[in-house]
Amino acid sequence: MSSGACEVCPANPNATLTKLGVDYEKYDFVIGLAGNPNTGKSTVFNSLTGLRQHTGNWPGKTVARAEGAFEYSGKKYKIVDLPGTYSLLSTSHDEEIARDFILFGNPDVTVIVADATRIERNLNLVLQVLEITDRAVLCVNLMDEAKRNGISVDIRALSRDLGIPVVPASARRGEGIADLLRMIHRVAIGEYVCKPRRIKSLSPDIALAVDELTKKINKEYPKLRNARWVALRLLEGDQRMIDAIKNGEFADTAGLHKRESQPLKNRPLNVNSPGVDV
Amino acid sequence: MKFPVELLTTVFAAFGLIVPGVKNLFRSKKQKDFLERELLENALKHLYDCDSKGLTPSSESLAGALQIRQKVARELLEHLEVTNLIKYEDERLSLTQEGRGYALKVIRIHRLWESYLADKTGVSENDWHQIAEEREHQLTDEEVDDLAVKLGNPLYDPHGDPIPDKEGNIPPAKGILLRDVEPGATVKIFHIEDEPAEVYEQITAEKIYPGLTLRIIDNKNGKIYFVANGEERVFTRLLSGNISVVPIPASEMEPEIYTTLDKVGEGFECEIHKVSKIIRGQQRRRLMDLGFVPGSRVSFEMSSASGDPVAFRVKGAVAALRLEQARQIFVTNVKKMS
Amino acid sequence: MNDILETARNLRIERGENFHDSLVESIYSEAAKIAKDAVSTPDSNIAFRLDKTVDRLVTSRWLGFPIMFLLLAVVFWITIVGANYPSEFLSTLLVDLGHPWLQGIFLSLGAPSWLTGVLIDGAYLAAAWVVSVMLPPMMVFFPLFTLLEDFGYLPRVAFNLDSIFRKAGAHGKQALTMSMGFGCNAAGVVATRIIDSPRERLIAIITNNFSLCNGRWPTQILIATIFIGAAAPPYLAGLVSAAAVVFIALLGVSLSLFVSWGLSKTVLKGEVSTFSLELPPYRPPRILQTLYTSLIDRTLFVLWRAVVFAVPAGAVIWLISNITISNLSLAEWFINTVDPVAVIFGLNGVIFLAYVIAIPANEIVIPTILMLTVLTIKAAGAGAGAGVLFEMDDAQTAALLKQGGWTLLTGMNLMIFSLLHNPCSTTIYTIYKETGSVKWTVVSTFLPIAMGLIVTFVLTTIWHLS
Repeated sequence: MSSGACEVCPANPNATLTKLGVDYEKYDFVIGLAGNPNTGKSTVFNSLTGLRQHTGNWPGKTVARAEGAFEYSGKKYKIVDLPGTYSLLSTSHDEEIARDFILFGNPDVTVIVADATRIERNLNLVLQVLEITDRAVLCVNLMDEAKRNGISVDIRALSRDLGIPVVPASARRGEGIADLLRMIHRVAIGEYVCKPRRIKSLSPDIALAVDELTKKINKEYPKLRNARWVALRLLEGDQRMIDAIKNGEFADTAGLHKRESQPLKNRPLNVNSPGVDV
Repeated sequence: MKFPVELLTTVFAAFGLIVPGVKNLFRSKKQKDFLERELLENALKHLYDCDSKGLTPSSESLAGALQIRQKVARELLEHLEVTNLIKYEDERLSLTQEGRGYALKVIRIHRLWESYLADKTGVSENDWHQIAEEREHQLTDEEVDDLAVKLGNPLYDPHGDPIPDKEGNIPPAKGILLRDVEPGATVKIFHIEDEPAEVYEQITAEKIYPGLTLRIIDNKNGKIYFVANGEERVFTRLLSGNISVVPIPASEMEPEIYTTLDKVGEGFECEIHKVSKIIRGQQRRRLMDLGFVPGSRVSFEMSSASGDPVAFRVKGAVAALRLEQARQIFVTNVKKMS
Repeated sequence: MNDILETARNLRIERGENFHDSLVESIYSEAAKIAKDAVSTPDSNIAFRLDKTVDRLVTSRWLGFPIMFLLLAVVFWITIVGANYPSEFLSTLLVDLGHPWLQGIFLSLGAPSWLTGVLIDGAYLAAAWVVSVMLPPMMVFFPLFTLLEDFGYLPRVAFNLDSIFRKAGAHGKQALTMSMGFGCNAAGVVATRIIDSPRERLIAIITNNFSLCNGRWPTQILIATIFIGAAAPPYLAGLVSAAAVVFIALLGVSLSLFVSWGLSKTVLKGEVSTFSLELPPYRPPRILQTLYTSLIDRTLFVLWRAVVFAVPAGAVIWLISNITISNLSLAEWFINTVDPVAVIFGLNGVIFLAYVIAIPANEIVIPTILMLTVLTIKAAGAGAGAGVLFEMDDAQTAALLKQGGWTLLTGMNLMIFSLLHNPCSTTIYTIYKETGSVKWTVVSTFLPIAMGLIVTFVLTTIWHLS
């Protein structure tokens, strides 16, 4: 795939992409791929890895997470396709997988795929991801659809407001994938330092509580970069977070232990019908 | 001809019973143990209940509460004393430390299961208590903790009762009884007592639920007059004595004029004021995730071929809801779209 | 450390109730600000104009349902017609040529005849049969269905049909898993993953079998033609037999709704919780990608499971037809024993045995019935030998079955029983995989059988009375 001539050709940086499918024994960086359902997340995943995941127009279709790999500019990347979710705050199984991976799986870069025709709704998830991680890239996909419907997206303004690289793409046509790769790479090797936007305007009735708890967490773990997210989750009674505090998982200087999260299998349907024998 | 609904229901019930029924033949021993556990745990609950109300329990009160014979009640108490779950101090019967812990565990399961039914299923709220009454004797410690985690460790059950945690700590109960509220006050329902069931059913039939805001108009002659969801209601002392409320600050007051989303039709848009607390748990979160949050502007998009569900444009996307859900979303500022 | 947890707990007690609402509200108001800066949307009349026009049509009160039925009908028509050619080709290749060829090889190697029988006449032939009749319709049906899905039409179907399913205590998305079931029940069961609530999903799984799958359409058409169509005047024969098949399919749909309703009122009690569904924008589907992925994801997945079950079943079919006790094969012993019982239901022992041993796939029910009929009536010259599946044209089939004692009543009852019997082994296995529960797998397996026996019994009793 990569010929000698093209590797040095700046016009086609895609040429240094080697799709590795599921061959990811050794890798330099881990990437998490998050996004709303229906944003073409799987198409992005497939164009990066050369795999052919099919996910339909449905939330909850990717039940188990899929993994793949690629090589770019001499670095090997493992990429994890997280379930498509609208949010990371709920108690559903899908959101738990996505949330725990971004926080505890410690990806080097989190790529968020958003639908250019439905930016506002997608930003809900983007802002939540940015509460958790410092290193993220936003891929505004389906630009062709936006254009068809006369919607224009100011990529620079988005990037400035969010403090992370934003890449426009039409993954189905392969447009923007090269830029996306370059940005992932730059963030991964530390060339691009993100200054992610953290939610500024918490409504006053919860702001005090969040601040109080965040201060306490910061005092205990001065190096933790997402103390406010931890506070938010504790205030929602998230057991995973309570356990993490109890086990001292946040004590590490990096913020979190670099620990590989368990591969999650397709969990069988929980038949907990009310009122009848389980 | 009238459709023989009941007959068909029975046939289906029979199908449903065959499978567990056959299984039960082989577990009569287990079944017996289970009945003993149920009896014992109900006794502890009764003793705890007396304790918290400042009453003195006795074998008579126990026999009455559990609807068992006096003799059985006395044996039960003997058994509890032998197993060190209760003690007598100056002839006065009370729970030991372990007994209290055990009682709290049963209460924890009961309230968690009610939360589960409310948040994760569509079971009618009139059935919550009864189902939880059975379930509280069946779950293992692990299952209970799993359930709590799955529900996000809730502190209060759907009736507003505090749920004890694993260690037996109970969040403080709050509120005053609705029947004691002065006219003119605006209050929010915090807890509705689910026993006796007849009273509870009367209350739920009026679409009164925890989280609902009430404006008290008058309180006289043993009746309380108030406005809920824009409608004036009158409750007797019996009903209002089963409802606990907390006063709410002026900032959280309801606006006087609002309508519901199901009334917003073709060519109109509106702003969401709030999502009724009747929509709970996972449903509520899903609606919010889709963008139905206070302050969102929502416009009518289309109705389905059968007229229900309907779809709205919200946060730049299109989301479909059933009319009964839209009816629980309060909106203001309804405007014709240009 | 405990201080943190303690503080968190106290703050939750103080603020807990509204915390989540306030948080989501805060995030969304922030999102609105950013979007206002960065996104400019033209007047809503221009944006999504095409989407709106399409939506107006497909959700219209008058056209919504006709469009839906028309689209589904076209999908099935293309499937049935389009599958014929590859099916004939595969059948020629694997059955007509492959089978004698393999027999020849075994013969030349001097293999004992029982070995050739079990492996080639039994296992190989059943697997080859399953592949040649199952693969082509799935190759056509699944991509078509996936195209509709990728285009964004299917969520609109769920949107339109939700009101009917709500009344049955189920979720609108069940309309889709049901339609998928018309192609293949196993795929329909897998598709129920799109339903969030475990209760509603379980209802969708249990009732999926009432969708007449690809494997059962040919049985219905054949029996309708040779028994029901033949009972009508010749100029009406085609119409009557087609109507009979459609009637059975619609009966399946009504029973599916009826059983959903029954389950949701009893063992799976609980009012319908909710229907909140995003209706995604329409998007041009990618044809090649769809062909490829639906082939991998659905067709090969289902086919593989079917073949895995067909191989041992083929061996069993051959063995019971060839192992004899006191000059009667095991198959005949079984048939003779259950025959008196089967008669009560207007069926016969051959049909019962065929449904037991043809469990891997509904596609091999008719060949199994033919083979067993030849075996029991000792029809000279017919068939391909004990335990060897074969097929004949309609007239010959009719003649053979009538020789086997079949009447119009047997035909009707077979059509009902073909709709109402246990799911194929692939589907049963899939149900177990998806629910992780033996109990619900058992219910899904035996509930339709019980219903089938009740309906055939009632029909037979009435038939004999009148």
